Amino acid sequence: MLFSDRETTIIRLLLDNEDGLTRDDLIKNLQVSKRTVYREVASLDNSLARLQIRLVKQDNRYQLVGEAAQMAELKQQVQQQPQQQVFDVRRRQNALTARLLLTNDVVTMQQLADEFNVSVATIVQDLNAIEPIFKDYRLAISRKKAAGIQAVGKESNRRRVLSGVLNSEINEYEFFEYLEHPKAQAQQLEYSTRYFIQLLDQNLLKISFQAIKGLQAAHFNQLADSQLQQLIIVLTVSAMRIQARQSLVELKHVDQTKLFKDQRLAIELFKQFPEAVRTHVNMLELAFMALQIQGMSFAVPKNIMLENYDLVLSYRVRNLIQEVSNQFNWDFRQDDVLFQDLMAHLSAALKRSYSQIPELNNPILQRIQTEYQNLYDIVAHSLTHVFPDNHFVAGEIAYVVIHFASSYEKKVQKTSLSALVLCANGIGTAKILETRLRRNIPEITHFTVSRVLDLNNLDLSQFDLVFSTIFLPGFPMKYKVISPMLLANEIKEIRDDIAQHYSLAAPVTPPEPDSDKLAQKTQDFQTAYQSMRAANDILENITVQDLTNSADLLTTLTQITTSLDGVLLTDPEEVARLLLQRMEKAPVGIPNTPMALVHTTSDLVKRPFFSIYNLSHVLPITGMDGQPVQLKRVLLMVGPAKMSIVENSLMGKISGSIIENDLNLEIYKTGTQAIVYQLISSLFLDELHMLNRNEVASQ
Amino acid sequence: MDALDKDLILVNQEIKTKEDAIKAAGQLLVDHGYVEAPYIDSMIARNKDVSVYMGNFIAIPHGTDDGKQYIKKTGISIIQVPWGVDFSDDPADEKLVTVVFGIAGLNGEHLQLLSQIALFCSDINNVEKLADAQSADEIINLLKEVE
Repeated sequence: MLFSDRETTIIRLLLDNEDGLTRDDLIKNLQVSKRTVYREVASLDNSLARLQIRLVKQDNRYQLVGEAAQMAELKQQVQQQPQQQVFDVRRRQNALTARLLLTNDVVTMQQLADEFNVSVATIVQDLNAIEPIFKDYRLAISRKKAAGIQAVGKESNRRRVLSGVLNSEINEYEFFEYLEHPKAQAQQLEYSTRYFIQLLDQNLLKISFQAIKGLQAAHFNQLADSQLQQLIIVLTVSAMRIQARQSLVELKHVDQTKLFKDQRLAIELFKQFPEAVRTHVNMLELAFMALQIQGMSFAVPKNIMLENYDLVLSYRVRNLIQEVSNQFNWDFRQDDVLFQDLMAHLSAALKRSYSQIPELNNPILQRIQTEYQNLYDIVAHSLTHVFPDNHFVAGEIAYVVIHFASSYEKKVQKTSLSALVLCANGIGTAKILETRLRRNIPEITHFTVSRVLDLNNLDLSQFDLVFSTIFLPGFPMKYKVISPMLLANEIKEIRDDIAQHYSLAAPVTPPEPDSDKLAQKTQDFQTAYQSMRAANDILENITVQDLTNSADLLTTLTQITTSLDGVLLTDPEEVARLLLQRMEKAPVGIPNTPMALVHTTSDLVKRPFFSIYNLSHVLPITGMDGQPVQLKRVLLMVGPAKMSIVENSLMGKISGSIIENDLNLEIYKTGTQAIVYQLISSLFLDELHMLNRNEVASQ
Repeated sequence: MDALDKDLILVNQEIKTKEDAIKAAGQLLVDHGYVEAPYIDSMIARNKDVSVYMGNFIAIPHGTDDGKQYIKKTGISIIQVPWGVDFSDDPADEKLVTVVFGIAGLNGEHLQLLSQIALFCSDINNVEKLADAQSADEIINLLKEVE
């Protein structure tokens, strides 16, 4: 029999103090409230009864009373048990976040203080610390006078934060050990994992685990354990909330058509739950769960820059792409998305320890084999060549082909085609068709809608394509009959057609020299490693922060540089002066935005650095177009006077990306730290591929 | 699919709005004794909080939690709208639906129904066949193989 952490502490205290301890002694030692001590003492008395030991109160002192043999056994038991463990501050704040989001009740500060074994003042501090997370997700902590506090906000966001917190705090190895052997493992778990797992409804957790495990082989095979864990947690949280009658009532921006496949999986998952949950599953719940599943399929490890970035694999994937490009006579190398997708896909595929069950009757795979037969053969051949130690079953090859095929389809040159849409019925139907064509076939830029009756008034020679909802016997041009709802396979057919007739194949540049020398690979590795380290150093130091600044530009710049004094640079005043000097030489304000790219290089700066500062005080400066800019957001970029080629190109990548497109501009203008990090990390990844490629080509 | 009833299938319908489509699907369930009339209101209400558009040109109207009390037995009504009816809220964002499945499920059976329909309709060719079917019998034949 085992005791809770707090019970263990009380037993230890009482064993060490044979004369007993007063209630106040316990309060002081345990740092809990009077009420908590009462509660603990009562529950401890119960727990001890099984060992025939009693917790008695004599002369206002608590004492343990029992036979010597039993006391010895108790002593041994509490010694085996690990020391009482407490949360560190960050954990406690996460625990508090989860605790608040799980309930819709109002809780008092005192209640929380008791639960977390801290003072009310600490809880107040913790609440201030977690509030920004709430705000980011448009949740709020509502404080009700004399009643307590309560988390409020949209259910979908509540679940996102809750699942995120639980997922980050629960150790993935322990999680699965626990799920496989719940009884044996419960007490072995590390304190924090145990705490967070136990916040979940154990029964619903079990069902979620079984449900997801049931679909794993067929649908979640490519997911890493961490992703499976996340999925199980989201599902459990959703089921708990549904059971508590907190179903979703709104969900923004959902593309149902894209979700269709995963929605089916969501239904299968929820079907495993008891009626209390099942009955209340609405379409929105299905859409929400489908979104989570879909998110999984595209998740790329966040820290791709770090230790788990597989260099050997990246080298092989590059070779694979090269080989397929040569043989298929189409240049896939420019497609960085393809590279990333193949990295993610192949790293999972190669890691699967067990051989994959062949997918015999998967219609998609069969279609891939027939529709892209040539590409399929080339990929199959290249795979065996590049990965001689692995055996790829037909299904696996088909998945790799899908990546290449979609890259091919995507790259098909956009041309500006004009199309005639003919309709037997009213113009209304043709208009529906036109909107669908417009949305799905971007290659077509001009549309003319006509009824068959009005055909004679049209000059047919001006159209590249003719679509009709009816057959047109004797029509002088090639035309395509389509249904007014424009089905997915029709869209595909049309696009294939366009690709075939109107696209210019991307010319294949001469293949890179085949470099098989070991020395060169080593050098490649070194270069790649150094580039990655440089990129990582910059990335890890990116911050987006608020600055209460002065109304003077130089003073503001000095404020910023002073905050970096020591770690990043020396002589902050001089660096600020250099920044100002640079601004005066050529304006740095970004036109039509409240931003400026404030930058300089100097020997006083130790390493490349990029960060964003939101100013409390707007400063008037000049924009690059000579127009005034009201500076509110400083994009600071500094580096040493001498930077390596890699560092230079990485910094250049950042500055070049700012006005590259509207999305980037918006991210730099309003993005949070996480979003800016994400953008720059993906930019860097592209840049590193480029650098690697050039490195090989130049040798 | 067990819950199919030929009387609950209408082909070649012309329907202008999503509300009319939901009402029509609900009315069939009412007319054949699967639900009581107030269930239709709860189907309309459900579509107001959460669109019952499923993707792949199908919509699956169903009642809210409050509407469950009006269900007498589990059933599906099917309305085929060959020229489509738009289930979007925003005219710019068209959600064309050609087959409307009205469902009433006792005891959480709605998930079972949803899953069968979704499975069948996940293949767009099947949706096309449903949309092209000329009679209720043809639709029953298409769907009867769904487990």
